[in-house]
This record gives sequence, C-alpha cells and structure tokens, in this order.
Amino acid sequence: MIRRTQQIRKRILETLLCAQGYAVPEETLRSYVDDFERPPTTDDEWAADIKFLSDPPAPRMVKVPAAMDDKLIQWTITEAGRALLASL
Amino acid sequence: MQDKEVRSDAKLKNLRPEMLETLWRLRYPEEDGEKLTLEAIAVALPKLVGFSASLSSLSDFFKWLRFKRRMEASAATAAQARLELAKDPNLDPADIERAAQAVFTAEMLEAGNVRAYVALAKLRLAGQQVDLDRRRIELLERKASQADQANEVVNSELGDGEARDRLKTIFRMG
Repeated sequence: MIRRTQQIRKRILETLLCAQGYAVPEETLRSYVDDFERPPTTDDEWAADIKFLSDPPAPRMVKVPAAMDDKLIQWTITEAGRALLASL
Repeated sequence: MQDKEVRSDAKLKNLRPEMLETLWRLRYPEEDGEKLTLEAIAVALPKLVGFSASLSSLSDFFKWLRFKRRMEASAATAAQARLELAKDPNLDPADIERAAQAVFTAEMLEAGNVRAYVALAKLRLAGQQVDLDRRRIELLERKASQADQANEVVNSELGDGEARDRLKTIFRMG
C-alpha cells in the first residue's frame, strides 16, 4: 500500500516535471497516472495524494488558475516537488 | 527483483534525448521502418544502452515516453504561440504567459476534453465579437463624422458645384 501511494505520487510529480514549467490539467494528470496504476486510483486515493502533495507549508505542487476556464484545475511542480521526486 | 526493475526503469528515463529518440524510433518507426516488438527491443537493449530491462519496465517506459513526447510537442506549440504573441506590442508579458499556458492546456486536452475546447472556442468568439463591435463603432463614428461634415457643407454659402464636389469628397464618391 505504501509502495502504491509512493508510486502514485511519483507519477504525479514525474508528469508535472515533463511539462517544462507549464501547468497540467488535473484530469490529464490523473489519466496519465491511471494509465500505469492497476487498479486505477480511487477518488479517495487521488484526493489524499493531491492533498499530500499540495499541502502547506512546502507544497510539492501548486494550483495555477486557467485563463480560459475557471473550473479547470491545473497544477505545476515546485522546487520542493522536484526535491521529493529525486528522492522517490 | 522489484528494486532491479525500478532501477532499470529510472535508468531508461534518464537516457540522453538522442537515445530516447532512437528507442522511440525502434518501437514507432517512420513510414517505411520496421516496428520492433518489446521482446526484440529487450534483446537489443544491452548493446544499445549497456543495461537490460524487463518487458514490463520497457512497456512502462514506452508509455512514459509517449506521454513525455506529447508534453514536449504541446510545450513547443505553446512556445511558438508565445513568440507570435510577443510581436504584438499591445500585449504585456503576463498576457502572453496566460495565452501560452492556454495553448499548452488546450494541446494537452486534445484527447477528448470537450469542455476545455468549448471554453476556448467561447473565448475566441468573445474576441471576435469584441473585434466586430469595434469595427461597428468605427463605422458609426465615420458615418457620424461624414454627416457632420455634410451638414456643414449644406449650411455653408458654397456654390452648388463646389458644394457637390465637397460632398463627393466627404463620402468618397467618384
């Protein structure tokens, strides 16, 4: 279970790192993670990992508002996220 | 065994860009190339990169590489948009950044997010509407100005011929 949680967090950060500084829509992020994880992430699992990675005081990823759609949630990796990814 | 797989997975992802391209082309060749199976790539791998990887690691790696390439293509499109937008002196850097991010997002969502595309289309339409309104106002202003000038001519003491010529000039006739 711990390994799966770690793996999901790693995949999330890995995806954000590939985005070259742009923010990634959350559904793209989840669809990527679910492409690898079997079974796919549950809503609870996803919410817990997103919370863990975005919680202060040193969030590993932060929300970026979408100019074209205020309902769209997008994330970008922080320095703390890069550091965590390197350690996973 | 699991640790070994994790290590080969990480090693594959950290290969130089040229080697990533080589491996991608083995799996997804250009038009006439021969597509290699994962098994064939696993056999060729030690010679190419100096280490081996399991089939499951290779399968994960190619999924990751496909996604990474898609991200890079989206980022390249956004960068192109940023360059184009930078030519417009009326846009400030923050506007350009927002627009580039919107392009990246739309590119990333190409695989079926209708809502984002609808939002983007609405944004474009709103832009077009603003442009249309601006042109309509310019037209109305021009017509109002022509009417004022014509009014001045009609109420002036100019002779018929001269007045007709002035009116033609105002309305750009003949």
